[in-house]
Amino acid sequence: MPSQSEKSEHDALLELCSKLKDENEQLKNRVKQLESQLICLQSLTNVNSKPINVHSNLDVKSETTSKLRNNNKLSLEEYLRYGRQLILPGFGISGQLKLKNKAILIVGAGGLGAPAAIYLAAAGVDYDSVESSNLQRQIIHNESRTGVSKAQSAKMTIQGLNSLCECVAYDLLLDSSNALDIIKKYDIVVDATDNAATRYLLNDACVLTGKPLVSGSALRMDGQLAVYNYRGGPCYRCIFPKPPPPENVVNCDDGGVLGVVTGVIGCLQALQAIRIAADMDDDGISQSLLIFSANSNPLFRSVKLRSKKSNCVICSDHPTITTLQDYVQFCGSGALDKSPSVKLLGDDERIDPKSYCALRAKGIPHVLVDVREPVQFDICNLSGSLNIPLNELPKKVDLIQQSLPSSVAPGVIVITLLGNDSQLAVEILKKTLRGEIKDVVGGLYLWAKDIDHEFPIY
Amino acid sequence: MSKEFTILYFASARDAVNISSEIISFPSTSSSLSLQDLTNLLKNRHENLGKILENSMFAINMQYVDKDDESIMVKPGDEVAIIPPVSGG
Repeated sequence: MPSQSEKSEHDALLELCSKLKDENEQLKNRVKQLESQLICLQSLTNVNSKPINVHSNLDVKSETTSKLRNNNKLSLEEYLRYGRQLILPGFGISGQLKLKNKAILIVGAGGLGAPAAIYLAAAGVDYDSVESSNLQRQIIHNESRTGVSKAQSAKMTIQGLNSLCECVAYDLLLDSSNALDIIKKYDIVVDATDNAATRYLLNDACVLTGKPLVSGSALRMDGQLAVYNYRGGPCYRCIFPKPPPPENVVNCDDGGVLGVVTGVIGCLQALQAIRIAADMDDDGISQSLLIFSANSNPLFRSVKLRSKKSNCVICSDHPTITTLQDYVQFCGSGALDKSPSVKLLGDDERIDPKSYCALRAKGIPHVLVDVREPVQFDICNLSGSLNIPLNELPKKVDLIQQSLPSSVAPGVIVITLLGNDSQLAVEILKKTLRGEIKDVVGGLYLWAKDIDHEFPIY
Repeated sequence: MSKEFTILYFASARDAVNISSEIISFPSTSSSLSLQDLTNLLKNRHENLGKILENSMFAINMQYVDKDDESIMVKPGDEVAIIPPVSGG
């Protein structure tokens, strides 16, 4: 039996051990951060002499340029590694060589780009860094990379996966000033982005440079896949000439997405890119839009697309658009899938979380309306709030009316996750309700930050 | 034979109307509908659908149709898909 003193010594050692482990982990993370910053700064000075947004962007490709081009031999290592696809009829060694000599640009290293990049062993361009809410679907990143730019993180994974594949990470935000220069260097572009503005930008840049665009998208339980601007097929604008109004665009942060849905679409994008790169039989590859509905039957439906639209503004014979545009303006929203801060209301129609907290504490009568979807309301909500989803609000104003206390000046306070939809709600309510109607600035997110640190944020 | 057609709603269109498909009878006087008439009919049935329809692609029997083409008619038995763009990732 160890004596009491031996035991406490043992405990002390264990404690020291665990402290050192923690410190070691922290230092490792710090080194990673600094390395990523360094690479980011280097890429800013190398890639483009123009000033580039100092966000961590990344862009990765399998090395497209002259170095690997015109390589008509496989190494012994490559025969072994790619054996299972070399023996595929319709692919074979000629397909592998074509693949080897092609460069693919993946734009976006998120839910779609992660599986696409893993399967293509190349990587993409993205604007932000890894957050824990990304890991549910962005399988190219892992916990230890939290805070590292997505491009760098993707590159680390790719290099660990296949050292034969050269991978360039572009830590930059693709925009009208740099898109053409970057895209020119590649044979195929994979659109794995998360916003309408970048989708139109990529479409136009691919039309102007003559590159096929493998487009994938996913939200909630839905996905879409198409190859645009390839062999006489339509471009994205032929099919979707008008961008959706910004208030109708839901992103993965707000609308949610099942990780498998981005996985399925991202893998299919890799497949289409391989089919194009290896020049495989392209039976109608550019003439269909595949629709994936994860919660209905059939899971997949294919819509036969048209050929080029004869009056398309960019890909027809007489285009009216001949240079890249301002896509943020065109779409009314930016390239950041993070919810843009909407500002529809004046300051006098809004209340900040601290003031609202004070109002609650004083017991001032009011009705708190939470306009998130019920599924989100069920995750967390403020006590006493009434849940009426935004899209049902116009029909259900009477519910609020009934709940209003009969005091002299009862107010209505609207809240949502980030304080965007709540402003729309105030505008809707103003039409029929009288009295003071305000929304909470920054929504539940700011509430959690400023008032209640225990409030769950998702 | 009853004069009906089917509408399939995808992505945000399905979320807006809360159903993935519905069977609709032709208005009593006709057995075909132009795409403009169809758009109006759907807008009247579902008030949340208005803006989404403007940006959606339409397909009849899983084949793209040009919404500006006035000669295209929806006929009995047709399956019309409303496909809004998905832009997330």
